[in-house]
Amino acid sequence: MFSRIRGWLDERLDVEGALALLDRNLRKRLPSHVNWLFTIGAVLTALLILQALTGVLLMVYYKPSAAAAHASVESIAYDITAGWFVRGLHNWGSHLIVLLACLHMLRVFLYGGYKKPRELNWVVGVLLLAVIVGFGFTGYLLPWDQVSYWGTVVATEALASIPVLGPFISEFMMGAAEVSDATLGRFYVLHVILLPAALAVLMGLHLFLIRYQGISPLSRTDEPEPGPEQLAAAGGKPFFPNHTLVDLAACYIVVGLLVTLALLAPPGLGEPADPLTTPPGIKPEWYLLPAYQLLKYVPEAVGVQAPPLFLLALILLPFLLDRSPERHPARRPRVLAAAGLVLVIILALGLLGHFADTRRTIMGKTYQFDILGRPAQVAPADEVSG
Amino acid sequence: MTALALIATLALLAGAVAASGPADLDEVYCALCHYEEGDDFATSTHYHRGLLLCNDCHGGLPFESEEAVAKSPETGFIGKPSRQQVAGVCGSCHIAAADFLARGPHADAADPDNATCVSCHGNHRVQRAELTLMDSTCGACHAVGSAALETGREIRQQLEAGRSLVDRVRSELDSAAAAAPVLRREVARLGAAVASLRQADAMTHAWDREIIAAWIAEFEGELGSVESRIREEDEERRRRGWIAGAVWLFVAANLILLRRQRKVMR
Repeated sequence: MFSRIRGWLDERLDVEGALALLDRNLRKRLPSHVNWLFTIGAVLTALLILQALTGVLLMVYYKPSAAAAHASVESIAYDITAGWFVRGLHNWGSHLIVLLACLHMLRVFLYGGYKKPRELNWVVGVLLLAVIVGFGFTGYLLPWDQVSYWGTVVATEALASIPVLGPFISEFMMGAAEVSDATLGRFYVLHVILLPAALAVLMGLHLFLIRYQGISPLSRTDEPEPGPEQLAAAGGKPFFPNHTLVDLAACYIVVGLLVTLALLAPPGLGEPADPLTTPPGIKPEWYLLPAYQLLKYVPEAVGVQAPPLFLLALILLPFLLDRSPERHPARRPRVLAAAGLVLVIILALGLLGHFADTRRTIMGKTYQFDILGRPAQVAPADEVSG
Repeated sequence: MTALALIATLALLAGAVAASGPADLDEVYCALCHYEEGDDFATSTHYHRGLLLCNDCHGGLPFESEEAVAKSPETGFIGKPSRQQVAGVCGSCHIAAADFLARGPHADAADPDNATCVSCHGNHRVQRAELTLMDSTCGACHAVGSAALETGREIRQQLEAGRSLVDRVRSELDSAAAAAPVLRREVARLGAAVASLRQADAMTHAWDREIIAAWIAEFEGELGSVESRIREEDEERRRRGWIAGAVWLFVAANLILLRRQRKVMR
């Protein structure tokens, strides 16, 4: 039966030819330096597919209006069978995707994978990162609770402070003078239609370019890239089935971690959004914390331009900032040191943002961190009252 | 339910009034002559919470400098409320307490030996009523070992047990809700139980063990169901822990299979 269907299709679509082409591509040998770090992309693909599936399930019950959004999420989280689990997978999945996307880019950076002739795929990767953060930003508002509402208010106010275009961008995103029902509608459409469409196109292009150009070698860009025989001689293994087994193992581990987080730490839901009451300690998601914290140290109009400038710098990296022919990390110490410094600054800003405006007990002593993240030890008497 | 709605409304009203803060007593003309009463009133919870001024109990116009106008009958001025008037004056705000007082042994205000509101709570120096108030007031009229004191002691024990139960369940709920967000829903039920306990406080004025016991039983039932939900969620979390363990066993088994497959390919 199966062979008859295949024969029927083969007569019309040359399935044999297509499968042979696919097989040739899948069995392309990889450079010998390919290791576990090169599984992150496959894990990200698996997580994004899972995210789409859980997203569709959530859409069945979610109601995108200011009047009904919170109640519908509450119903998903507490009433609908396994709703809490699907929401947990979607919520934790979003965090893991942002984390792994950053690690994936760091890996590509470390191995010089953005250099000629793969600049275009690097740009596509940067755009994918922007789309992923866009998913996080728009999805954050959808539960319509106090934290998500006010977090979005802070973010859109920051956007409005961009000189010249800021107010227009902010109002265009909000659809009104303030975060409201119109904003929720816009964010919802972005989250479930426009961003997924952009993601699908960019992912398709990204995967095609990876298969077409192959994994970047460690040789200089002005040297010819090794062919299949040279890769085989250097101990390079085929992508399928050798590397796909490692990819699969990494997927098992990360999906196992995701399921565990969804099971044991289901996301909560705050009080419904109240535009008249600002809750204390509003903070954006962890991946936007460095940008948010930076706004506290520099004028807002300057600080708010840091994230787009950072993205622009990433896009320009292979064209302007690092045009040396070296790919091997050991032969790019200055570029890696500069990147390490940027990374340390980003992590430090994130940590300061995490601690800012909180009271924490560290090694038996209680500290009050101000909004700039500076600690001040709290006297025992104040500990009780505070 | 009606009683709870009434209490909630009064609490909202009190909150709205309190938001305006206490008036400046230097601007209240009554306190120029009645300065001792004014000083006492300045220490009261009624004043500090910005709830009342002289006219709320005595009538009149406290900010009117002309005595004849301030104390004219048209302003509702009654001066010092009589024994018979006291329960009505206090009951104009403390509706539930006055209602239960009228059902209890202290209802007959005409009896000069009977207590009125001010006998226990004082007049100008009224403080927030606590159960410890019984220690300093009941004994003034009732002898040690009397049936009345015994009733008071039992009622107090019931209410104190209720408060301990609230504290315990609140603490359990706070820690459990951090791990199981669904339990946030139970916070509203705890709030309803606390409001119910406040209603029981008002019931002390009837000095009827049966009324209090019935109310406390209802309140304990509500808190009991909150505790059941906490236990259910605890059990659910344990079950999810086992599922997570099974997931990792599945992952480990697959990793072993993949490793074996990789060796075969080599």
